[in-house]
Amino acid sequence: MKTLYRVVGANAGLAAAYAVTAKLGLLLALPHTNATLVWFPAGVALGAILRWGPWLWPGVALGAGLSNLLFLTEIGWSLPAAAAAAASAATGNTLEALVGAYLIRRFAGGSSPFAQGAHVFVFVAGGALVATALSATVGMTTNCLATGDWGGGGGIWLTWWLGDAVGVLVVAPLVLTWQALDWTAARRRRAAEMLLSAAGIFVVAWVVYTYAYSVNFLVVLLLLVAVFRLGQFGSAVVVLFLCVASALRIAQGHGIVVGWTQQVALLVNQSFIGVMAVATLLLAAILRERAAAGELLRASAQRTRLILENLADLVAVLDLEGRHIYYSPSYGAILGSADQLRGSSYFARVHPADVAEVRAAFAETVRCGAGHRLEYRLLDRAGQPRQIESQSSVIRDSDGQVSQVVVVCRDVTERRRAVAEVRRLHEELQQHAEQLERRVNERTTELQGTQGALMNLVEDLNEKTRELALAKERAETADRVKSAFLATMSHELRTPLNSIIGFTGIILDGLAGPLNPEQERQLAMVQNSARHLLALINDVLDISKIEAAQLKVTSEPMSVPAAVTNVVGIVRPLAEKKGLALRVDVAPDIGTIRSDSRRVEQVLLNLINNAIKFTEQGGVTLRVGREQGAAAPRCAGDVVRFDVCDTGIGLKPESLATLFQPFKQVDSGLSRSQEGTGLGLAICRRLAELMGGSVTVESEWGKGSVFTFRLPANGEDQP
Amino acid sequence: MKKKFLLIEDNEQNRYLVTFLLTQRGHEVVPAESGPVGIELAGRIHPDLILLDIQLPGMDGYAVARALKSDPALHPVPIVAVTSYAMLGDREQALAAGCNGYIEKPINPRTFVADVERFLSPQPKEETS
Repeated sequence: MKTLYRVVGANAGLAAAYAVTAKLGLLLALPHTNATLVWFPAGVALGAILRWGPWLWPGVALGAGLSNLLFLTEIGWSLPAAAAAAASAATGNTLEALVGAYLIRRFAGGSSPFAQGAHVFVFVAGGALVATALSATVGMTTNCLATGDWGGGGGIWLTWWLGDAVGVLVVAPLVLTWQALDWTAARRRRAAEMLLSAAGIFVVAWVVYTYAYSVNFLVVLLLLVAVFRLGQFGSAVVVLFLCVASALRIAQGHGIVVGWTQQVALLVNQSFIGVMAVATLLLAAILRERAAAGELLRASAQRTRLILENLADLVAVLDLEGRHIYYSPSYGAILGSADQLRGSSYFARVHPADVAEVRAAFAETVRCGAGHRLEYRLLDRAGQPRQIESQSSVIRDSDGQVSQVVVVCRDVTERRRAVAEVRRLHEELQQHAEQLERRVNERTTELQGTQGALMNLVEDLNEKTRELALAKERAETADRVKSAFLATMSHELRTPLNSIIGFTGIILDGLAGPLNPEQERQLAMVQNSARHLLALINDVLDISKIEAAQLKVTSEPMSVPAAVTNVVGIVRPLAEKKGLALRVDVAPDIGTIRSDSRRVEQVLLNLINNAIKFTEQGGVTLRVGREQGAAAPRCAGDVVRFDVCDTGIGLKPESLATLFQPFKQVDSGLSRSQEGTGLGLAICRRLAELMGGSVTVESEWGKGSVFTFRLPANGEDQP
Repeated sequence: MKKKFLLIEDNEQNRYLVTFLLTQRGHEVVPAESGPVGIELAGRIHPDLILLDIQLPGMDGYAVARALKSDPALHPVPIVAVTSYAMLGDREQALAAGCNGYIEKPINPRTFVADVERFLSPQPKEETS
């Protein structure tokens, strides 16, 4: 914002400048008038108001008023008359500047009317000719009113008008184009050149006006040089110096063609200076305009070049025959070197298969002037086809005729390839997905099949389980039935035997009365048969119980010698009856063991009975001893070993295999007098095993046998 | 020393056999053909020992033994099972039912009376203790 201080200061400064230039101008004034040769302040006022704004009008008014007042009093006017005249003139001068500035702003589009030739015309017409007429009219009227002499009014008006006009033309451009000096080397050089030119034209004008006024056109040359060399401000300075020099000379009586009055010479010179100023301004403006246009063009061209050079797209400019006029660097990089391309035909670069189509499109473009969009293949410098998208457009000459064709090509090879790749991948993925789906389906079907099979299997298993459960139940039922049957049989068979054996015993013991020998002998046979039958029943019962796993063995302390004594007590009578020796050899360290005495005795009884039964000569020996370690696999720790040795018939090797099987009595080859159930050895072996021991045999046919019964010394309870 | 035996046995011949053997030694035998009859007699005659067949029609020997032992008056009277049962658990079952002894059939006439008499001795002690 403009402060009051600055406004007052600027106006004061302007007033001072106005006054100084007015004083200078009045030096060139005609004698006894305030109509000057060149009224410089008019240019100062217009330039200042146009450049900085109409707020400077008080400065103009003050400067003009003071100048006129001083001048008029100086030439002898009374103070009131001088003051009135000065006020009037000041009004005219102020109006002149304001109106001129307004017109220029209004019609030249701003405060700088020297950028274009057309604006210079506005400046000249509005600022220098129209506005100054205002001032001239006011000034002339004032002058004539003051003097009362209207006769010289036309001369005064013309002089005033021309003076103001030239003042505007010469000084306002200085104000408007002046720039703060920065003393760079280049500007210093220009300033020096400017001063040199100003001095030069001053000297030339001085000489011409003094000695050869008729060749004053010489200054035109200097002005032209100044315009071309120095620009607007410089040339304005030069014009100022020309103006000053010529005015000085004429005011001093030089440069006046014979027949002219000084007045006429002055006016002619003013006109000359004015025309020179206008020409200079115009020329400078046009030059500046051209320079600006050139600058714009250069910038535009540079931009275009930069764009083209950095464009990935290929750009070619072709003549109407399709020959290369221009091509972008990217184009050359792909399609060939400069030597190959310059002047060559664009169509030579097109893939043979696409040439016809491209030519037709090109011709169409040229004919209609409308661009075409096309996709085809170009051959790169290696001869490889490149897929491109091209857009053609036309350049028209100043007559509107198509003169060139611009083709912009985009290399879409990679894009096409990428698109194809993406499509391929997509298809592949789709295939994979389908495959996967198919496999999943297959697998699902398989699984369903498997599941079905599994279900069937499970069903079968269930069925089997049910069957097994049923079978188990049946087996268990059968077992129970068997057990019940055995129990019943046992009871039913023993009950009558109980009677037979009981009563036979009673009678044989003579409890029921005396018997004769024959009765006693026969009854003994009955008793024997009954006992055999009982043994048979017991054996069958035993083997059944063993096979049904119903036989239990206990594990209690038992004396081995006592058991041996018991058994021997029973069998000794049989051996003696057959005349066989029965030897018993019990090791002294046997003592007591843990086992089932009843079953141990049963085994021993059986083995010794057998031995006696199948031995006719010799004897039977029972050896009892301890055995360390395990001769039988199941016996850990101490084992009692019973060996029953006989000198009987022995066994054939083939008999050994079936020896311990139930109901398989070995065929001895002899007519046996001894009865047997065929269960004895089977029962012995099974009992021995139940007690954790074993029964084995070693035998030689005809020599006898050794049955070995091993028994753990520390037996466990066995089911 | 004459003792009173209650013999519960359904088979007539066996009843005769046992009775014969025991009376030969001077004992008194009261026979009963079935369990219920035996239980009823036991309560009435207070025998010194009861010989009990297990395989009885109707009420079997185990039930009879339990019934006899559940009577506090009869509890001290020893019961000896005489049975042709020789299957697994027969002995254990009989003892569990309250029998004091167990003799397998067929009996041995020479040893039978002595075997039975063995079960007589501890009973008075038990009574007095």
